[in-house]
Amino acid sequence: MTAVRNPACLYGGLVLLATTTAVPFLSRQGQVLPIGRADFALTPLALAGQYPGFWLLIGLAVAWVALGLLWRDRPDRPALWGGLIGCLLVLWLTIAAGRTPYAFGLGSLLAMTACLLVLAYGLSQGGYIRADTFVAASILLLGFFVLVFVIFPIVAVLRHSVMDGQGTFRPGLFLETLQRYQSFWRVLRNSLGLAVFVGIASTLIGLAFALAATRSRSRLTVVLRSFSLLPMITPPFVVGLAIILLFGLQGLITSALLGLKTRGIFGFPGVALAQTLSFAPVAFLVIASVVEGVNPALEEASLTLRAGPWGTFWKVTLPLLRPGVANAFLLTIVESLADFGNPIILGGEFEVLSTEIYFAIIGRFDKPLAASLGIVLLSASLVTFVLQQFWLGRRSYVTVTGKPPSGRPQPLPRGLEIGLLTFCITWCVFTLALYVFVVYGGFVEIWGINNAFTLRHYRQLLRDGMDALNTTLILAGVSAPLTAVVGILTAYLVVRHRFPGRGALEFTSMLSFAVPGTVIGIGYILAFNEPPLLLTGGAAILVISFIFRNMPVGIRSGIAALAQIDKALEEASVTLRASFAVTLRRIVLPLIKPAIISALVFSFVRSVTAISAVVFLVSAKWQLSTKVILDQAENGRYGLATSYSTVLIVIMAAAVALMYLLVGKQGARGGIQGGGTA
Amino acid sequence: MMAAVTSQAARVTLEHVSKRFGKTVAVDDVSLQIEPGSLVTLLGPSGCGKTTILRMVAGLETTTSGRVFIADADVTHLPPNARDVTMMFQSYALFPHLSVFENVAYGLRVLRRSEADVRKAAEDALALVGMAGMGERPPNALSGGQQQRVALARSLVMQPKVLLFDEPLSNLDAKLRKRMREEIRLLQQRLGITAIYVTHDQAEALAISDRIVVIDKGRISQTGSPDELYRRPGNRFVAEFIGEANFLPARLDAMVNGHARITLGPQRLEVISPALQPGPVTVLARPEAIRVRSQGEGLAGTIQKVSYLGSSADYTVETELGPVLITDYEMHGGVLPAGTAVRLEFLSHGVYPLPSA
Repeated sequence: MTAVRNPACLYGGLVLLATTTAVPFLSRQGQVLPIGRADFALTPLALAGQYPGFWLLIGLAVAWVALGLLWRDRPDRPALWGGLIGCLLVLWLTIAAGRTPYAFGLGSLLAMTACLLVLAYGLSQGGYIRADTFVAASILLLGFFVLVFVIFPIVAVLRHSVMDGQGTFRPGLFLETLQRYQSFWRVLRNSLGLAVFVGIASTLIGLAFALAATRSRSRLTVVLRSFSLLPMITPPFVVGLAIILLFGLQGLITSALLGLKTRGIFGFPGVALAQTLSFAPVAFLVIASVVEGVNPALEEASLTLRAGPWGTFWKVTLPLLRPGVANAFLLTIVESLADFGNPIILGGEFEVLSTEIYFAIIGRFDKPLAASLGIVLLSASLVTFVLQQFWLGRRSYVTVTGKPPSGRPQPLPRGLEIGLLTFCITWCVFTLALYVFVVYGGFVEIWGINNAFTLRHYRQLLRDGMDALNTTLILAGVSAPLTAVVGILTAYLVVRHRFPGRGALEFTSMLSFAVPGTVIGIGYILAFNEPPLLLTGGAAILVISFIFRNMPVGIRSGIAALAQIDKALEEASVTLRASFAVTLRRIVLPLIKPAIISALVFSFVRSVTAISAVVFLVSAKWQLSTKVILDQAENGRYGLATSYSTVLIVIMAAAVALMYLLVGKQGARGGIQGGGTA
Repeated sequence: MMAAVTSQAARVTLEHVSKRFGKTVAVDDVSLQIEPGSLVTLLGPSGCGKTTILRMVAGLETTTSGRVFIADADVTHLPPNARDVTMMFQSYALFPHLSVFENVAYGLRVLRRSEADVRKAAEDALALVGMAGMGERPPNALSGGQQQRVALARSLVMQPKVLLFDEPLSNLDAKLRKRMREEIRLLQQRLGITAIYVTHDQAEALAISDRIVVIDKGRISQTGSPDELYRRPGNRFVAEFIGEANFLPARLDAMVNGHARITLGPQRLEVISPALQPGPVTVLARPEAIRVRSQGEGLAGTIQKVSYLGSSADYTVETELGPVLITDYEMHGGVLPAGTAVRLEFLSHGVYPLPSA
């Protein structure tokens, strides 16, 4: 072995040394960034008197520097063991010392990162993970963050369902809590029944749209296709508000037109209608891509075998669509179960799991109940998601090779085409009308009672609502690039590299899609409400929730884009002396620019329109627009709610329009698949 | 300019290299030595493991066991970008978002060479492959042959220790393939670079290689010069894979001075042979070394099938030894029709007794 200096240990050691002497390891009440003079009492050096364990950390840092300068043999051994020991030490010290009133601080974060990087160096130099430090470091850091911000909150939910107020572990508590909760079976029935109903309705409507949009010869199909964009730019309460404006107590249709004074729309009818309106476009997208993938040759063969257009449609086309239809059905069920915005303002007496979890925590501070209900909701959602991904996902009757099937698809039987088009256009008109009324509602004094035109709501918005709007836009703007980086990096690692734990990383990153926002919300409160990981009440927890909720968007975009790129390009780059990091930067990223841009925009949009998770995480200092809208709607101040919603719609529409400009129709398509509701 | 390249030429050694993907053994205990400056071809049918071996030399695959040496240094654990080998791909793998010039200059830029050096080296490389002046074009504006030349320039400009070829000509049409393989061979010899070439096309392998390694199901079947492999195949697989082959039963009567006296049908022949015991033996008979006559001495048979190929005619003749394939380049008296009764004479340079098993 030639004489080798160990750069990782040397630099890692120096960083760690600096951290242990000069950077506060802990913070007061989780205020990580503002570092005042008093905080220097919290550096490891200072804390070592109280917690002797810190001497070990300081000693480790010194050892690394020494090893870095003196170790001559294989560079991986000291880095591997040193990094491992360091990570465990930092973890232990943070948990041990990070007790009230202190929590983890900048120092522990830096120390952990340094240890992970040194460990990564050790792994790569030891010949694991393809001898590349960049890849190893990415895997470790991503794995660590996914563990902390995706797995840990879910574990916290599980823990709190079997942990009573004193903190003792009682496995039976889960069942006890559910038994004690008298409405449990009613709520469960409501949630599942609603989900199935909405699933069926949305899927049928989505199927109608898919067939009409792809197979009709009319030029109206353009209208139908743009319909699929609406959920992307719709803040969570727009549909609900519109339904209230039209069908509520002072509703345009119920009160003004029909003279009824009824709250009948509140409850199952309203929620079901709102969810169907919201999720039909999602079903449309899923089924449309399957319809377009059907090989026209199959239908042509059927026609040459003497079956007429109707026969071909029933016996060949529809059966080929079965996996797509089933897929859409399961997806909309997952969306319905997770939906929070519509049930909360339209639910009335109709209670579902997502709203009950909210009331359990916010209203009653009943952690075990919230956690137990959360587990029930999570299970229902996960089962459906797993069914959709693994069982159905593989059963495609259509080749998805990226090559468009040759030949032109058969048009629909004429009667069917007319019927479908009529229905779809009507549905589109109805949907658009809802938006029109929402916008209009922002200019009306008091809806249904005083219909005078006014700008009062907008003036009030400018006075009081700008804080929340600014916060929303800034936090969403900050988290979007981070989400894109995390998502696309994960996609790159999972698609192009093989390493132990790859399947686990891929699965857990996509898990965020299957976990309902409500469960993530309570998970974050339960997990990050106490030291050492104290994050609630700050902006960080909002940004983190955005990043890890929206990560699957970036991952799906990334995977789809990478599938289009010849692997040989990256291999060529690597044989031309470029490391994986340089290859990523110079070759991969320029070629997947559309995916990056659509990931950015969709993350941004999803962050702005998020509600089900963030409703638990906002605080007095960090308010989000969606929460403000919810408050206004719950208090009957529909003027403010609608004007606020209108502003959000305009911003979202501008963002999506910008994306289409930058990326074109094809690039955007890939990103839309990752869309979903809040 | 390129004269400096010869000093880079390196020996490549594989020591008991194996590669397993899950349960499948793709490469099974392969040991190989490639002399500096030679072009060695890994030849075999699809899925035999030749590409995997190449990729392990490049570092694009890790070895499950065994070691890889380049220029006598152990590179087994080095990543591809540290090994100083370059590779040419079947799909050319030119970077679509960079111009031809930038493609060729890519590696040098990664190494942070000065702009002047980069410019000179890249332009020289382009001139070497006959693509001077095409630097500003985007890769998708070039034909397949031109793209492959640019890929070659991109590889050569790095002055690598070893140049690797992964079926680089498979995407080109037949005439272009012939021309390109000759150009590649000429350049390789002129620059004296060590080259490892992977292909399933045995004619290509025979035409350009110093040595051929025939691979069958992850194992080396035989190594040798093209002539050795064609005339003296070590086993039936190699005999069948390279060129056309007839396998006929014969009797070995005696071994004399490295030659064998055999009885093949009615003929007695003295042929070059591996050391074998007298007795029944299977012989390889190459189709172009069999004479067909309408009458006379020799093995009797009837023509079953005829294929006229312009410069030759293929006959399948049914005989008491089984069906025999003959390629007739002389065609005295024109092409014989099917059904003709003929006599076959075997020429000794085309007959070779196969080692048993």
